[in-house]
Amino acid sequence: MNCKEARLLIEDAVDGTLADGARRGFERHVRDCAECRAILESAETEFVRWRSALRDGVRGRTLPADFADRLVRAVEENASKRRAFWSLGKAPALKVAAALAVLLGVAGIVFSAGRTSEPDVLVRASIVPSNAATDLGSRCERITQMLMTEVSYSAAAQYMADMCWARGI
Amino acid sequence: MELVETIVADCAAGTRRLVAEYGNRLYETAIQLCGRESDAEDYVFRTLERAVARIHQFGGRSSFFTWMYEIMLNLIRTDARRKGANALDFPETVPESSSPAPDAGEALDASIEAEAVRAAVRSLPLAMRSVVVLRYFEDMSVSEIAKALSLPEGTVKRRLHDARDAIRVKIARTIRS
Repeated sequence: MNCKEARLLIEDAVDGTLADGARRGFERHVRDCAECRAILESAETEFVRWRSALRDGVRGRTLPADFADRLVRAVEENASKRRAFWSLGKAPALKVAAALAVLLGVAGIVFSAGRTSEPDVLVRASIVPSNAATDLGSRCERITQMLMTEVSYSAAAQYMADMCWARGI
Repeated sequence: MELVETIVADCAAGTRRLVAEYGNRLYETAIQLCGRESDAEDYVFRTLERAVARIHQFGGRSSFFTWMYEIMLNLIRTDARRKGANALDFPETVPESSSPAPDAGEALDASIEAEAVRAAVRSLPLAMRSVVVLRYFEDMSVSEIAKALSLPEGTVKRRLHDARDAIRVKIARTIRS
């Protein structure tokens, strides 16, 4: 291995990503070449300096004392909303019908021959008040985009469920 | 995993334990990623909130911290896209490959160089910054970073290489100025 080849491998050597064969050749060269050895040591020192710089920059920074309390309140509130959403409680027939209609709407979008990106397709497929159509439009558009462009239909269904839950439907 | 079981069994106690075990580490990492403590605190809050809500999705493929790091990174990316920021973009010109200057560190006062490094990392696009933070701050190997970010190892190495060049150029500018 010559110096030019060895110097191309210095970053890999510092990061520990040299393949076995290359590492043996590199180590042999560095053992014999003072100049390349100096460059390697400089790179290793640079790594240590930068690591210290980043760590020293945040040393002693801690979250506020009330952070955990606030987070617990938020988490419990979210859990309570989810329980309220999934419990049938008031108007169970309406909620079951709404859930079925949402699923049918998603299925219709997924399996129909002429899928469209127009949000009102999902609105028409779902039982939503007509006066909510406008502010649901952008949400439905997002759901449609997710179905058309993203891999996970379960993610789209989750998004739809979250949307309904957030709106108390 | 015991922490996961605790969160599932007792949400409040599990959440407090989550904050105790990972909160400050995530906070330090978030400061590296987004630069401002107020933003970092907000991201840690949202990350932990989401982690608890989706605890059933943690499959143990990665470490718990790495899983939460991915959540936080996605939140930062999503916010950056909404703001239309260019934080996700690579710089138009990446500097010519540079090698570490043996005397650069000695020429600068150590604290000045350290601040120059921090400023340089903060100025990197998010894609580069995220690998630099994991490599230098979290001491992850290239293969661990690749798994954490679901990237090929070659991509991680390339981003590290480009980030290092960019940081060296910025440090050199600091020396000149």
